[in-house]
Amino acid sequence: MSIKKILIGYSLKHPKPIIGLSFLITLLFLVAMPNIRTDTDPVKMLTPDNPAVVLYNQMKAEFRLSDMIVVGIQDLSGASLFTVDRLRRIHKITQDIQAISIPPSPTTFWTSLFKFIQWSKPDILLNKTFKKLIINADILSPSTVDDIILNQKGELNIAPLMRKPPQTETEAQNLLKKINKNAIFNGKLASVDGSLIGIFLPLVKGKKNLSYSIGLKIQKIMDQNLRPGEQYYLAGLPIAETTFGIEMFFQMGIYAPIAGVLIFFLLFLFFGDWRLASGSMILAAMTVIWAMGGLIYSGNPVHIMSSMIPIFLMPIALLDSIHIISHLKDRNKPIKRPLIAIWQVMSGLFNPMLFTSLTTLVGFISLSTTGIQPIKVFGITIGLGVMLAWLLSMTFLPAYLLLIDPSIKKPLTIDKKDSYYSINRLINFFRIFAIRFPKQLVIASILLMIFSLFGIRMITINDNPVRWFKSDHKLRKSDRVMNNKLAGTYMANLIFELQPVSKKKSSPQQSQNAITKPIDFETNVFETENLPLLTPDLKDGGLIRYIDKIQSFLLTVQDEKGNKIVGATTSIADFLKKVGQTAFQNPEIPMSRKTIAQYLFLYESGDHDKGRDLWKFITMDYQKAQIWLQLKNGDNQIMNHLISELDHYIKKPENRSPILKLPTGDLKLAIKWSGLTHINNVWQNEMVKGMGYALIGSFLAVFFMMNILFRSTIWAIISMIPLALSMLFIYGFIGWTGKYYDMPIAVLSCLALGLSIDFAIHFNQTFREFFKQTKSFHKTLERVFKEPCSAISRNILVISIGFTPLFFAELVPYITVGVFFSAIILISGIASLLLLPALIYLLQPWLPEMREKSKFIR
Amino acid sequence: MCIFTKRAIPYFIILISTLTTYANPASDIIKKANLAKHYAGSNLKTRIAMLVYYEGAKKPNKKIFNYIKKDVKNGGKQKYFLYFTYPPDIYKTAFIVHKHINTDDYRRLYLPASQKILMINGEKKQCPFMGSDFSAEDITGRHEQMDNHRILKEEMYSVTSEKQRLHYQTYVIESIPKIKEENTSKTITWVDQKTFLPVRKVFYDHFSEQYKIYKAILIKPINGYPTIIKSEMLSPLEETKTVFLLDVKNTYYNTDIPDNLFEDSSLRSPPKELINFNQNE
Repeated sequence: MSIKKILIGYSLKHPKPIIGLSFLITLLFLVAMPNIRTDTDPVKMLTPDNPAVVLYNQMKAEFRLSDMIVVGIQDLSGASLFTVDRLRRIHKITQDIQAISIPPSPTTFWTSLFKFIQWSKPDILLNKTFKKLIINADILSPSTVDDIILNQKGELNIAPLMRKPPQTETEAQNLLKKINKNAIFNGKLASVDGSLIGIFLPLVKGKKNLSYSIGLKIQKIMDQNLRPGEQYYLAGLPIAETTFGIEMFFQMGIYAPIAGVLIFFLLFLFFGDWRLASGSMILAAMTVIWAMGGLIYSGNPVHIMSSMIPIFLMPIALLDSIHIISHLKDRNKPIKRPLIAIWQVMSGLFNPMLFTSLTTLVGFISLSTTGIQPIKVFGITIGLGVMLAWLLSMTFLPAYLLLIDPSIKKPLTIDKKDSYYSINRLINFFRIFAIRFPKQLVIASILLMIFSLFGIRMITINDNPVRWFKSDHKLRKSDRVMNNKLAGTYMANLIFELQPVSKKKSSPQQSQNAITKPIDFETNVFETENLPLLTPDLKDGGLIRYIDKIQSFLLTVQDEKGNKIVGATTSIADFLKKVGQTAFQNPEIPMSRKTIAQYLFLYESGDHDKGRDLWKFITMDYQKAQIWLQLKNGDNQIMNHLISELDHYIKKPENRSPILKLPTGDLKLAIKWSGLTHINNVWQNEMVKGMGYALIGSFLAVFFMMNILFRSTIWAIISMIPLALSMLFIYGFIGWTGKYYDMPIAVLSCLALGLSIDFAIHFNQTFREFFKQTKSFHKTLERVFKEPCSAISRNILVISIGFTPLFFAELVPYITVGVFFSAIILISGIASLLLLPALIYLLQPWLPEMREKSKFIR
Repeated sequence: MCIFTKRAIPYFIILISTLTTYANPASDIIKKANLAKHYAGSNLKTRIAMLVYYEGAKKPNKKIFNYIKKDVKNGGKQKYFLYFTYPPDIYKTAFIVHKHINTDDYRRLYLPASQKILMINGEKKQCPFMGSDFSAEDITGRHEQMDNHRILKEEMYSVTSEKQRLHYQTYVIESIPKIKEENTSKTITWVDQKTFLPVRKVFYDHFSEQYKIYKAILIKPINGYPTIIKSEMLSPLEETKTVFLLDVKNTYYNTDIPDNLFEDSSLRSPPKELINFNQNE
């Protein structure tokens, strides 16, 4: 009670300071806006200490792997690109791409601060900001990739495949043959028919966020060099992520204001006064600015979910103000003393408004229990935003209403407003329908529930960041072409590590990093006699052949439709085979440790790039190796399938890891998955599990809160039913339609819960208050269906129509959110207006205040 | 036969530039630096440890090899014999190089596990040496006539070595290749005025980015010849670094080294007295 008096009372006494203070705080948060940064990296979905992320980062460091942009050049007629003229131009394109640089942005105070912070990071080798964005030495393209050959003199030579463009057509055609024959290049550098050439661009660490700009530079290079009939494509997660980040900004910039204008128009229609409508809108805008400003101040980047915060927060922020203004305007007689009228309306609505805000808060805060970082940020920001909106509705709104008092003095003249009138007619129809057919409604609900439960069983969980673009987007198109023609643009890694067979002894692991913590390797460098002669490692014929065996199995795995999943695999085994074949005319993987070591030494010492290709597949201490997989499809389902197939395969006794017998203890190979496609899988699983718990948790929390609010379990149950039904229906519907359950859909469940309960709270609360006065079910219901229900129906309309602009968005998650949110609100609104009166009617004998009375009615 | 191939052009230029001898002080300094670094004594027998540091790797990649060098002509042809003793897996691997000024090098590698001598292409003089940041040219020298040299300035150059601060009065010389090269657009060398050893060298690529930085960290006179005991090459773009260390106790100039050591036949079983070093002298 005291909070109510303090907040509303103070605001009504001092309206001007309250409004001034609100604007001042808004200004403070507006200042933060230019510092906004986006981050759409799927790795950031998980917390940095997640084991999958730790393994992924460790793998990237140990094998020196980089994020890759994939560039494709295609002949649209399907003719070969391996001609003298075309290869010359492709060679030129590769050289131009190598030269791409973006000068670092001019130093300002903020950037120098940022640099200062970066400086302290343990990068002793890389303490300079480079203009260059691409690691030229690691580019995979016909012009740069190293090939081992014997030249005419019989000399061994390891040099770029196409150091210079060929001079004759036969040479050009031979190049394609060479690529197709070589297991390391095959399917990566060119399609089998030669109509598509792939260039893989590894990015310098920390330059991933510039992928979009790199894409623009590549476009310029392509425009200069490509002829009609030739087409280029860009693919790879870095491009998808940064493109998404940029388009996301546009969508946010376009659709949030459009939604705002639309909602303003609706409010104007409801209240017939632009000053009242803009009061609500200013409140909503302030809430959005405070919440977004707070998000930016907290240092969190804007992710796909957080970019939707304005669109979510705006309609939610309006809810309370619509209730207040509706109650003020729906009075039949003119208001003589606005101050008292506002106080009366607001103190009447105080409890329901506080509880609706709290339940919405619970719905959103429950999102923070999921392990998914962006969803956490999103949930907490909106949860706090909802409470801000409530606070502003309790302080700013009464102050504002008092200042513009002439416009609230007039009541709404019902006959004039056709739209308003028809809404009232519609909800009255609901009332009559609900009381006439209460039992039928309940039976229909049960049938609907069964139908939905079947649908929910059919839900497929699947996501893929590339699917966030519409299917006619140029990135989706290049994704299709490249994965059809080349081995695949989705990367995954399978890591092999030696592990003791019996887990009693832990393997001696030095976790110190030579670079970050300089250990002195240089004094006494020649005293090698004391070292153990042979530490066990992967240079063993049996182990490498096992890796090779796994590789050949991976290539055979098919999805349910019989399509190949893995387009290509590369491992150290391929290098050994290639060296053996070229230098010793023996493509078999050698068995002896010394032969393997000397093969690798031969490659390393003759290589153009210091043998750095080798160290991408086996670590320099030979303790770990990896298979690089290129997948044709980045869907989680596909990755899941691959993982389970491999699990199944290695469980068979004949496919178990060979054992390295040693006096110190036997060792075997342990296999772990990593790579971006796998990371996507991990966070998906985490999300589904997390959302399940979050949903159950918030459902129970809301039920508990209903018990407190109504001080009656039966009323709490009545409140939960329409909401539970509409959520079941929506998810059942998703299952029936076969739409994939992805991140936006998962998040919507908690939102729907937090919002839909509002209707039941307002309905039941007012019903019980009016019943105390009238003591008659029908009279009460009639009254409830006047002011409170017209406020509820206005809210339903504002939210469901407020989200419609999203139907036309360019990015799929926005469309999903728009469609499903409108649907959830509309369905749960209708369900509440129909089921609540029907349930109350049927349950009269059990409801505390109607128990005695009901005898008379029957 | 095919003297007019493209590959012959640089050698022509060298020939022509040598004929038209004009006094260029910068070129002179580089020539002296070449002689001091690569042609000290008539032969050299030592042991080298090579450590390649990779960002992200736990330990550097270490190799130890015996290094025997003999000048055929001062400032000209040289022969090298390398014999690997560490890591144990490549023990007894041997490598010979005949460095030519006007033609491709002659290179042969012996792998003991397969008991085979492999012919290695000797065309790529700017390519990495044994997987390190040094190129073959950085180790065996680059003829001064391949570049146009220019003195930029004289300056005091300081380097921290073994916790000491060393100061060198140097010539700073810019060298631009006469024929466009694949990687290097220019180099800048700091040459010590006393010993004429290059103490620092920066390599620029075609995007004028510093892609390799050489530093002589420790210089000591051995048998009267100033010798670089410890040097490093840093590749900032690739985040790798190579450190070269000479085994001072086992470094000898002007000993008796037979010519047949540099023949293919000695790869399989080199003379014991040349490859066995005294460990604890």
